[in-house]
Amino acid sequence: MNFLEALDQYRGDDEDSADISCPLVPVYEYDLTSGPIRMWPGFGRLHTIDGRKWLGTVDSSGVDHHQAPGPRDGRDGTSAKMTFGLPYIDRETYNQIRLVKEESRDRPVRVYLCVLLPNEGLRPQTPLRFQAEYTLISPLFDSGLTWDEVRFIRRYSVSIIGRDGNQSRALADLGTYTSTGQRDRAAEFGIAVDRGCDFVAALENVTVKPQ
Amino acid sequence: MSIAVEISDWPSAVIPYRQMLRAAGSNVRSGFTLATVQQSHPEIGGRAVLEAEFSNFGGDVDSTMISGLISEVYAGRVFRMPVTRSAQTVSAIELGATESIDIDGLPWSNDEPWSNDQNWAFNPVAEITADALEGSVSLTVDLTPYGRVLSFGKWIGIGAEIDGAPNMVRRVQYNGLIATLSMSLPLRADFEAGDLIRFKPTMLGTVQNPEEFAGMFEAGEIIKPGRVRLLEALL
Repeated sequence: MNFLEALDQYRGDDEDSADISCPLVPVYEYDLTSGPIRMWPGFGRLHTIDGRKWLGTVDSSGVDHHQAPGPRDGRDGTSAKMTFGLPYIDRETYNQIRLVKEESRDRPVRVYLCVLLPNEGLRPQTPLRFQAEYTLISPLFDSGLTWDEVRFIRRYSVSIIGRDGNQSRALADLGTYTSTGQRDRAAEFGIAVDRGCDFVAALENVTVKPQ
Repeated sequence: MSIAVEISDWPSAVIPYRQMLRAAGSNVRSGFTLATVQQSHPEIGGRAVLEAEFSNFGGDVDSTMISGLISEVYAGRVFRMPVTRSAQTVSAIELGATESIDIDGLPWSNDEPWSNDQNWAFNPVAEITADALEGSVSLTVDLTPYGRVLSFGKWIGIGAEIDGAPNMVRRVQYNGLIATLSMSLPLRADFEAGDLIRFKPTMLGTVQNPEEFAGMFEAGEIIKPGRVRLLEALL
């Protein structure tokens, strides 16, 4: 049974959205340089049918230690700023993550949907459904004091911004218009001298009127 | 960076008079139907919870011991507490035990206990007959020595080790004396045919309510600690 068939099974004969409910959880795969880290919002390790293991991020008091934004649609061409965070970590972990922050540079985070049928435990048999992929841009490190009515607690948090494929779409992928750049490009094509841009520097801040 | 969790044994002298295990299966609320029935889904996974209450202690268990325990409880230690005073496990009688090997444990062959008046622990086991994977909820056990002792609501410990996680039987299907169990909580490790289940489980958990445990502390000859609620530690 694939994902859509599982959804269909939940849907049954119902047609109104208010009558349909299906336990779906989003699962997150951070594909870092040295290897992927996988998380799901729940208790214990989730084993999906493709053999991947996902770490549960919810603690005993129901706090999810991994914060992820809800899905956003990029079909209108916008690139939403998605912030994924680990808001409650200890100092040791915080420092360790700071040391390896380049691990996340331009790496993808993938979001899948997992349908959890009853009596499957933490071993769902339905394949995952790909939902979204974001590129991790810049990690943010923050530590600060918070007051919890009794004492000050130093709180360490790490978050990272992910952007979808629309990120920087408006920027054309061309070279800069300088004489040096033009000569380099010409050299790549085997042309010894290209003086086509020699005049460019002289045109800086100059208004040119065609005669 | 690996983390080594220190596990403390719950002091054997601080015996609870009442223990209750439950699978903390909460549910997730979802939408209303057109007929305004609110739907809910059982939460996936979940952990075992053990509640224990204590009666009055005197003698060996004095206020010093309890006060030490209070600090350990507040420090969030992982405790190992045997489930001995619970009607939810298969009783020794059901397992075919005679009076002498009841919950007080097994004496030496000359019917004498150890010098501290304690017997050997009574630790009946049964064998798993088919491989079971971590995260699944199905388990097959051979109950040949005991008969059909497992039914809905019975708690067993899965794994031969003392830290085998307690789990509740939700459904049983018998084929002769081979029982196919549907468990309430997902298995915490991979098991192979030949591994054991224990009829007297041991709970490994952290105390969730240190305030309640410490709340009844007072100086005196006789002391009564408050109840504790242990939440299964997933290590």
